[in-house]
Amino acid sequence: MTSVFEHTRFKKPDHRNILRVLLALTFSIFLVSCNDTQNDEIESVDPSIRINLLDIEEPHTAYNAEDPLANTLHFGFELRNSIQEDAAQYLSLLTYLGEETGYTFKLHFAARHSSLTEDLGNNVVQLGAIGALGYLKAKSRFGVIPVVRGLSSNDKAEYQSFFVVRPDSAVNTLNDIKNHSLALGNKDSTQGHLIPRIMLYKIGLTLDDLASYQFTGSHYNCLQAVLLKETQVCALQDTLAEQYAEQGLVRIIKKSEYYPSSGIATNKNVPTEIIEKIRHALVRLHPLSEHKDRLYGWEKTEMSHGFITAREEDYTKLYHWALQFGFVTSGSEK
Amino acid sequence: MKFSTRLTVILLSAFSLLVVISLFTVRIELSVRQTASQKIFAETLAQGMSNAIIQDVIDGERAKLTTLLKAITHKDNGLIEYIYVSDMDGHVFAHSYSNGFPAFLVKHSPQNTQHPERPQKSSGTAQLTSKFRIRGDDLIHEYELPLITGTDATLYIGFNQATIAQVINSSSKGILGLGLLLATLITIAAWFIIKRMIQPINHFTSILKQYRSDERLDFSSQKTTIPEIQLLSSVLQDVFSTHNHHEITLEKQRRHLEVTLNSIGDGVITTDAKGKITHLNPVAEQLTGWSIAEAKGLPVKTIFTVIDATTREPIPNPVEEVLSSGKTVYLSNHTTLISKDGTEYQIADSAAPIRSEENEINGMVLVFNDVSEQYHLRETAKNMQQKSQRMLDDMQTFVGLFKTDGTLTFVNKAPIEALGFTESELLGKKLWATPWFDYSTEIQSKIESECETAASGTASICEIYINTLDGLRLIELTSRPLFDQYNKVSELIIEGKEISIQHAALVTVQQQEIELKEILNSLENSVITIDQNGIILSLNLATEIMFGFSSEEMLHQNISMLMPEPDKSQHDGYIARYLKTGEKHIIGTSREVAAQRKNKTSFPINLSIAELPRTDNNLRRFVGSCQNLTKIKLQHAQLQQAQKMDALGKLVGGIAHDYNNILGIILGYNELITMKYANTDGLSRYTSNISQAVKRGQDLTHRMLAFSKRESTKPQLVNIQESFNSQKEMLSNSGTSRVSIIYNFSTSTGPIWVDPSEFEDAILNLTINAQHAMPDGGTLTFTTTSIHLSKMEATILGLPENDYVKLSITDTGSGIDEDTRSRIFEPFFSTKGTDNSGLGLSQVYAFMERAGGTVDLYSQPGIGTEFSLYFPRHLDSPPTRTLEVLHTSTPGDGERILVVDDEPALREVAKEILEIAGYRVLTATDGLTALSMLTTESVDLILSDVIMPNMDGYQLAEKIKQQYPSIKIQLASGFSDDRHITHADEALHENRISKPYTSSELLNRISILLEKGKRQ
Repeated sequence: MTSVFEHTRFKKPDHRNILRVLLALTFSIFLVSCNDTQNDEIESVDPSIRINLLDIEEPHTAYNAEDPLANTLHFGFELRNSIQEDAAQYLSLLTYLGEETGYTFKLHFAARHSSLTEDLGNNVVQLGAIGALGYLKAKSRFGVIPVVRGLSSNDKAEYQSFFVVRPDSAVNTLNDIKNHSLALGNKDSTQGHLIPRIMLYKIGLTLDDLASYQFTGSHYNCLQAVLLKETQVCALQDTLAEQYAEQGLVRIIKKSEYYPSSGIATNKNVPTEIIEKIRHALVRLHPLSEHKDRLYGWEKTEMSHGFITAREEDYTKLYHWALQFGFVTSGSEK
Repeated sequence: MKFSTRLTVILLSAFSLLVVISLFTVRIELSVRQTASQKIFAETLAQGMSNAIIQDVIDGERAKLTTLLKAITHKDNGLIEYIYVSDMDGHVFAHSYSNGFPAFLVKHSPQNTQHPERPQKSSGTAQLTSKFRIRGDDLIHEYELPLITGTDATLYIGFNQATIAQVINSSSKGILGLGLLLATLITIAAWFIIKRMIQPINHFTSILKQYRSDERLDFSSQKTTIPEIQLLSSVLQDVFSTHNHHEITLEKQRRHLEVTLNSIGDGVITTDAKGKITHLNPVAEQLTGWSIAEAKGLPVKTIFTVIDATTREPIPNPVEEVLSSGKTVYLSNHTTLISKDGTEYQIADSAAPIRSEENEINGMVLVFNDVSEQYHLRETAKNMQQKSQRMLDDMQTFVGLFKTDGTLTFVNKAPIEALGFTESELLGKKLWATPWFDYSTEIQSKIESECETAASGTASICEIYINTLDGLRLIELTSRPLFDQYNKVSELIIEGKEISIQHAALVTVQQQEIELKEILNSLENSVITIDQNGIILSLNLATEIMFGFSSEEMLHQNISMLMPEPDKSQHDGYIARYLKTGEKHIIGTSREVAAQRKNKTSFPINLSIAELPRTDNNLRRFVGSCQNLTKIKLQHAQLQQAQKMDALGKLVGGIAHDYNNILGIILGYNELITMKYANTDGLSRYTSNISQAVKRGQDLTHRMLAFSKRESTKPQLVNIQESFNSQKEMLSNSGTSRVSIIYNFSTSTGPIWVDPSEFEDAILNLTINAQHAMPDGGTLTFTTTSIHLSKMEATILGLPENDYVKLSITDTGSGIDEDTRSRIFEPFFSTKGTDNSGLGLSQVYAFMERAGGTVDLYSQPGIGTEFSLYFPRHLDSPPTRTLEVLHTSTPGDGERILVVDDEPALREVAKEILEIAGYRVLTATDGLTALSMLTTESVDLILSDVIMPNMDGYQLAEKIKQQYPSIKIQLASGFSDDRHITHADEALHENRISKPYTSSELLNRISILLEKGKRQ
């Protein structure tokens, strides 16, 4: 038998192995030393070349009086939540309107110093999602035209205002809030200001009969004021109040009657043809079914169930109250 | 290279590589983290300031926003190269540059606004969208943060990567240098350590180098304190010791294998790769005749010569095929090995390649053994199998072997030839798919089912038609399973035997049996077979009808069930006595016995019994034929009754005739006395009484003749209801007032053809009888209905099948017992002693017979009696008969009349009456005398009796008509006998006068005849 050692005999030294090792080392160092940034898609630029922005500003597109239908329709809105959220919701609505009517719509963001009422009345925006009080003001001053009213989650084109307190509050009825502090929403808000004033008036109270009152700017802020005990009572919109009441955070002490809900109105100069097309498209909107996928976050809005045709007479009762409280004056600007 | 050196080099390389890779990884990680940090920074910045920025954009606070952006940029120590914001339309609204906005950024500003097709960018999410290189080296990464989803309001931040790269580079260089230094130091240290560690191994190496295969290795000189080395030394010592031991063992095994090989009972020849023999075992030496010394190195073909046992042709040696193909080769079963000395052996052999571990063919191993004995046995078995095959093929029956799925594997010749096919066309097919059964899918299914039954382990038989060249033939197909040693069905054997002829014969027998049964069932007589125990074996349909039992009720029961007592109890004894003694009392003969129906009623039968031949199991059987005598007896009774009545009728008729003659004499002379001595006082009372007595005598003879049907009747159409209407008062007066009479006459019954006076007499007689049966009162009801008597009903009544008018006379009297009922219509039979003549009901009976009907009686003692009179319904209009208008006779004018009568007194009376009336009268005693007198005497009219010796009145009249047609003939008779009536005599018969006749009746008739004669 052959010796087993024949298969285990050491081979002679191989310098190639050393060379291989050295090459591997070198390559590694080379890799480490290399810049790891990719060279593709890097544009070499000269930052010293500057321009004046004013030189590249696009001129304002003039209104095409010859073909009113070719003009872009600007849509304004009152801020409800964050600007991003509101913008996303209304942009999806404008996309739908554009597809249905064939017109071009553009969302207009109102500056702090301006109001939708002003913008709508002055034709800065041609359409606007506006609350009832806002509409009344705009109607009174500028003769804006109501197009549609929104259908809320209870499938009604009406809403309410609720007076709420903390669950442990001693205030149980509206009559008890005399000499207590009250938080309201935005001064121009229907649910946050006008309707609570009506409710107080009906029981013979004015704001001056309260210990104090304050405008918090939004329904949410109003609620926070109650929860943080900054105030004892809050008057706000029905949906938000119910949401918090269901969670046991607040207690509802009084619900108002139903009043016409927020809607969409147009500047009086918008051609009737356009108004009708827009109205028709909005009334045909089915946010819960057919058009659900085309809208963003619409279920969170006050018009979650769609729209119905709005008429001036819908706001008659509210108009009288607004007139009484001085929110509006009779007559309109020419 | 030494192991230590190699190991050192390896360690150095490994460490270095590790360092480099770590460095590389760290560098990449730093770069990624830096990028992520930039993104997070940008997003944080956007989230924290987006609202403010947006609002400034919306409010147009350009300057304010610009200040803010500049502040952010400068605060970050060069990391942020620039920040700028675009408005909702994508236009740059504010930026962090001091002197204008870089042009390179302008062309990257998006142009479009609120485009619906643009993908919605999520606000607050930073994306690296652009990379710029400025100032030659500085790399800028621009991040984009949308501010309002759906618009182009965006925050752009440019991060300068040069600063980041600088930091990374400086960090990585330091790490690299440090790492390399560490790697070197570690490597050197490792070299020293390894060198020391492998010292014992070097010592091992030096020992192993000195190894010789035949020397034992000694590691005892290996001194070390290292346990592992000690262990290695010990193990190596053991290994080499084991190696030596294994070499010894291998050598032993080799020797053992060699011995084993030489001990194998088969011959084994091994060759090298070229086919040259390397080894033979003893068996191979013996069979081939070559020793290993002689054969070694020779080609295997030289010593292994094989031929085919059958053909004697050489068979190629397998060595070439095995060595070339590497396959195992088996030689045929008919291989004969021719050894060196010429001896032949039958062998079974196989040749296989010998392969190395590398699967190379190193040679061949040929294994073979002497199978001469088995070969001879196999040949014998084969011959037997062929013989069996021939035997099966010679059989005319179909024999087939099948697989359990019905596939034909073997079939004998007969069925193949029957079809004209070849074996190969049938083998391999399913039996039901063969042409034998392809004439019907139903049959095919049946065959398949039979195969399945046999395959399940159950034999089955069926009769089926098989397709042949001669057409369909009926075979009996038997399918049987064949079981293997595990008792599982391995095969099916199916035999088919032609039974066409037997079937035809069976069909014929069956048809004959059916025919026999039909014949038996068509017999009117009952036919019953019994066994020696009296148990009924078979019976025909007539038995069921006769006895009222169903066949199921009678079969297998004792025959005594059909017998009344005492036969019922004694019958078994009758059989036993016969079986014991052999004495025949009724066997072979016939006799009248009583039988019993299911309803326990008895009836007479004529029983004939015969013994049948014994069965195969020696069972004795008897057959009995039963003729129902009920009808026959009834007919006999009716015949006897009729004969009795007829005899009585004749007797009564004869008596009535003589009696009438006597009455005629008395009446005649009484009238003569009246005529001659009319003025004598008191004579008229006497003659009147005499007349009344004669009248009563006339009535009596009238009834007697009515019974005997000898009286001439005068039938006519009679309406039953009208007849009753005319005699209602009489009927009411015939009984007591305690009997109420009810009439229920149907309006749909038609008239009947009877003598109205006889009808009235019959009704009166029946009414009187009914009244007598109700001495204490009751109800007598007369009812008429129209009925149709069926053949059976009519037969029972002795009538023909026809429509009848049924008149029922029902009373609620005492009823009539059985004995009385049997005699009630006999003449002179009476239950009222001598007060009654006993002729009333017999007269009714005779009247009904003359009317073409009958009278039936039903009675229940204590309940009542119903007489039913059945009159044939008369539909034809009666023959018109002109009634002769009787007129007052005119006196004679000397006309000559010949009186012919064998009774002298009647002859004299008639002569005297006629002479007083003015006629000249001659007399003769019989017909012959009268004819003799006519030869010499001329007469105008002959008055003749009917019944006379030698020649009756009709015969005389016929002679006279022939010879003397001008002579008028008047017949007179006291006996209505219709014999000798011919068509020519019918008028004379109709116009005859009945004795006793009054003088006025006689003179009137004579006068009419003579007047007619004169008119003619």
